Amino acid sequence: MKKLSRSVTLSIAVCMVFVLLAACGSNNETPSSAEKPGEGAGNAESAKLRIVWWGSQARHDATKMVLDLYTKNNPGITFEPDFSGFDSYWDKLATQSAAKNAPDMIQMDAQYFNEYAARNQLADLSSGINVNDLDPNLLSAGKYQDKLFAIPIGSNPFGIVYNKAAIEKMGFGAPGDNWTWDELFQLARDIQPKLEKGKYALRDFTVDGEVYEMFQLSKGKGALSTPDGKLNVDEATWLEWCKVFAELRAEGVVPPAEISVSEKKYDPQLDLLLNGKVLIKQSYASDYPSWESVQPGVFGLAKAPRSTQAGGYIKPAMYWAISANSDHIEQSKKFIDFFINDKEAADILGVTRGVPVSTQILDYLQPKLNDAAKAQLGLINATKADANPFTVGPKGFGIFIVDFNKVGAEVIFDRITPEQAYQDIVKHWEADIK
Amino acid sequence: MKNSRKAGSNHINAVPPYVRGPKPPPCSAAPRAGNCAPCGAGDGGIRLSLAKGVRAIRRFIQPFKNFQIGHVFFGSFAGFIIVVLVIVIGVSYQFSVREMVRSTSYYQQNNLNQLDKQLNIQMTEIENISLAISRNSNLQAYMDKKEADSYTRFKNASRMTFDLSNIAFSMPIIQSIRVYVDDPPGSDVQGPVRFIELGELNREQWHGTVDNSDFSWIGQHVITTNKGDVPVISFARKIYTPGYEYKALVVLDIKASDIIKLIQGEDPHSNRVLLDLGLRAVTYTGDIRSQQYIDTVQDLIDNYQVNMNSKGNIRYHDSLVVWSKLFSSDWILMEVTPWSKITKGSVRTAIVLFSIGLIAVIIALVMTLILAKQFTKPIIILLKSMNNFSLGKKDKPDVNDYQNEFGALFKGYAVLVDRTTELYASLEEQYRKQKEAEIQALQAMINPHFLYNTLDQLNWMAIEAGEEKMSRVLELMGRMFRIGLSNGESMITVEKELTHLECYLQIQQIRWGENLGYAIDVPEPIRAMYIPKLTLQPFVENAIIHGFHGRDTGLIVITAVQSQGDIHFTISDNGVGISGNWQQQKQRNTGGYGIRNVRERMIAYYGPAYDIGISSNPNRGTLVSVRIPEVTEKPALAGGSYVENSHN
Repeated sequence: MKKLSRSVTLSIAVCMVFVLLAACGSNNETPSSAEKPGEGAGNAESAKLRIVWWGSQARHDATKMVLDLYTKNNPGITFEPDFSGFDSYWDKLATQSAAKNAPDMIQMDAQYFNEYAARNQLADLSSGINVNDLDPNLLSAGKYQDKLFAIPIGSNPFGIVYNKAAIEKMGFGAPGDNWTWDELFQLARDIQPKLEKGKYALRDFTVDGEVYEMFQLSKGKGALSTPDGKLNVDEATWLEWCKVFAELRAEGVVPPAEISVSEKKYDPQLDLLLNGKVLIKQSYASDYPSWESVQPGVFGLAKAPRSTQAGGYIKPAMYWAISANSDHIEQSKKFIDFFINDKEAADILGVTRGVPVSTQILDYLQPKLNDAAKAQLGLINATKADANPFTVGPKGFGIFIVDFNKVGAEVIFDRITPEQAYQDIVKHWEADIK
Repeated sequence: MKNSRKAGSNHINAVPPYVRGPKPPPCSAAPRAGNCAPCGAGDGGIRLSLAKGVRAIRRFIQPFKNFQIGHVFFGSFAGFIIVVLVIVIGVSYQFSVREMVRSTSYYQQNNLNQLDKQLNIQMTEIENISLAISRNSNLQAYMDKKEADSYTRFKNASRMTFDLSNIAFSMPIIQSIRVYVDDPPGSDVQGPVRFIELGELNREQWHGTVDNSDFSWIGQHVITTNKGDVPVISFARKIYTPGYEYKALVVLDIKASDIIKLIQGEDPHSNRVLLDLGLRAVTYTGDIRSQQYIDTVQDLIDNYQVNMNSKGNIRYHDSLVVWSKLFSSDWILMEVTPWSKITKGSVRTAIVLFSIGLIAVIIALVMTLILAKQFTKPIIILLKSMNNFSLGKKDKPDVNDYQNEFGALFKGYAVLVDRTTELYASLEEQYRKQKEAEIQALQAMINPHFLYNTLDQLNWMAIEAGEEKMSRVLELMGRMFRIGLSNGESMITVEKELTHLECYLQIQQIRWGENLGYAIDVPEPIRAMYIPKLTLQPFVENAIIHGFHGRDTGLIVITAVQSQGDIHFTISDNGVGISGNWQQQKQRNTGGYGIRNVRERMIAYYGPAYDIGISSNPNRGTLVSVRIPEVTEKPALAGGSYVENSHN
């Protein structure tokens, strides 16, 4: 009896020592085993991708929702989005690239594409993204020296936006697909008397190089640059263009210079179309939702006017590119693939970046398209019929356009003559295009 | 001498142990020593309970003497371990808390110093940039040439916007730049630069901050951008024309999140606040609201005499407040750490110590229990065998594997049991002998009747024959026999002993006639005392038979005196004395036997201290002295009480 109880107490004591040791041991082990899967996941999956784009509030909101959707589907991938308007976008991107601090994913534009591709700022996208449903002609706009560096995801015809509600109210009909520049100017002259003071029928396009390009195209003089990268501003056409607008300015059909230069695109107070100071101005198809979202049902899209021939062209737009310095190139490619091919993403994005380029997605969205989308699609189809080929400017073309517009501003302020302006444009070309 | 004599008298009075009846259990055999003491007399409930209480208290005063050894051993050991554990935990907790506070405040101080340095650099840079903006020629041109034509103003505005935008783009920490100026140009709502009418300044909540100074930091506030509401910290600087006219105000909005990240440092969960020199909370991180920080700082300065313009730390309510302000810095960084967070480590240490201690205590208790059992086991065995001790069975503790003190204890106990058993055996033997003697005495009591009757008949025969002398002898003999038998008692009064002696002497006088003289001088008190019978007679007989052998006359004197509780008898004669070798001769004659008999009986009754002294002068006489203790009562059962030497 006594011996039994002693052996029992002894065994209990031994057990407790083991339990104690086991407890200590497991305490030490638990954290180390818990850390390992976390580390593994960190290396393989998790990444914070920086992504930048320009646009209006509607595009910002839709894009952020797609980012959230992607994060939900791919835990570990998060985004640091940054977005702004078109003008400050390029300034900022230039600063970031110079600091080798460019974001992972960059929304790129045709005007700047060659420059960034030539400076080896962009990653090769030849593999990793499914582009089978994209129009090969469109896709070729994202190639530089036969290598794919950007994926254009919008076909973006350039045309005219007008305050349809106001103009129809004054008893004028909608412009047809074959209207001419003269008809446009005449319409403006007809409208102007019916407008109150401080409001103007037409924007002063002297400060808009891209609109002048449409004019030059319609005259059969080609785009601002030749396909092999030479300056192609026709002096006579430029002088005619300046003369037309000098007359319109004198007549008060276009606003005075200081109002023209004060425009801030998309800003409800400072955008001349949105604040009602002008009734007609230029617009890309993809811009249309931005107008439409501020004042739904007010605006209409019209094809670019023609002269001897059509002035319109379809610009491959909304390129997605990836920074060559990015640490997350593969993850970024996956996201872009998702962005252009996923139906759920397409539902959210709608036409905020223009009509989708993937035929699959377009077919999927067709029945859901709203008025704004239909208007865009209408412009695309109208322009497609007799569109001029799109010319990507040479490296530095984006900056040249900015300088071109500054020269235009000097013209409308009467600081220089149109002839002097032509000389300045040639000088800027030589300075900007290297 | 006195001690041994007393011991002797005690032994006479003492009752032999084996006739006392059943003994109470010996005190040492009871498990609790205190119980056998007859302290509580058992009369009266109050006295009883009082006594009980006193006893209980006494037990606790001396636990080592009162409680079972196993319990005391276990209890004291366990108590000792627990006390040590509690002290160790308490001391280590206190020590580690102090150490934690010291190191926490030290590292926080260093950390805050570093952060303050970085922050100062960052903030100074912002201030310098604002200075550069105020000197920007395009801005100056726009401000100055208000009367210029619209193109110039457009151009200046574009250039100014471009310059400011590039500053904002090249410094990611700048959220936006606001310029308050008269007749502002339009600004891109999505761009980083905003131009606002100078008059609008009064609508801003913070305009008071800049009214009276050329430049000032504006605490965290919220501005609206295209990316939603963004909290910012701003630096505002007034811009003057070369003619020193206040024309514009430039405000640099710094992303509060960046500054917060900066003051967070490595620890995103800390409670830190950034104060400017006016002790306004510019921004903060953590759970505490800015107003609370401001109140705390005010309280510290007012009630704790704290100098915020240096560095230091203080315990404020239940948190540790550490702050830092570098000499060259315009910023004070303060960190508030909940006290519980600091002591968390110490509490954990204490808990771990406590758990380990608890387990150690349990193990120690188990071990102590086993140890206590092992130590007390031999004691319990010994105790058990003591309790079970009886004469009948001789079961000694059946353990012989102890070689230490316990072994010695067991051996000692075994020896004790052996000796006790032997003692009992010898006592039994003596008892048996005494019984035998009693029986013999009883038998002797029967014989005398036959002797008396025979002597009586002889007396009558002598009277009838006219032998008067013979008759007299026979009568004296009869008296001697009566005394000699005394109903079998061995102790008789001195009176009787003397009577017996006189009878003997008178018989001898009948033979000797006038030639034999004797004198007895014994005081009356002595005569009433008791003496073993026939103690004196053998010496008188010796004197007559040996001392007066071959002589015509002789004189015998018998005296007795009391001295120091003893009685001294002397028997002297004037005979031939005793020759030197009488000791050898005594075996062969009666006198020798008589003396030896007396001597043995004396030793048996009184112990070896009482003896017989004999001195002799040849032809002059012999002096015998006999010393016995004074015995005034008749012993209940005389003889054989002095047992110690009896079996030797």
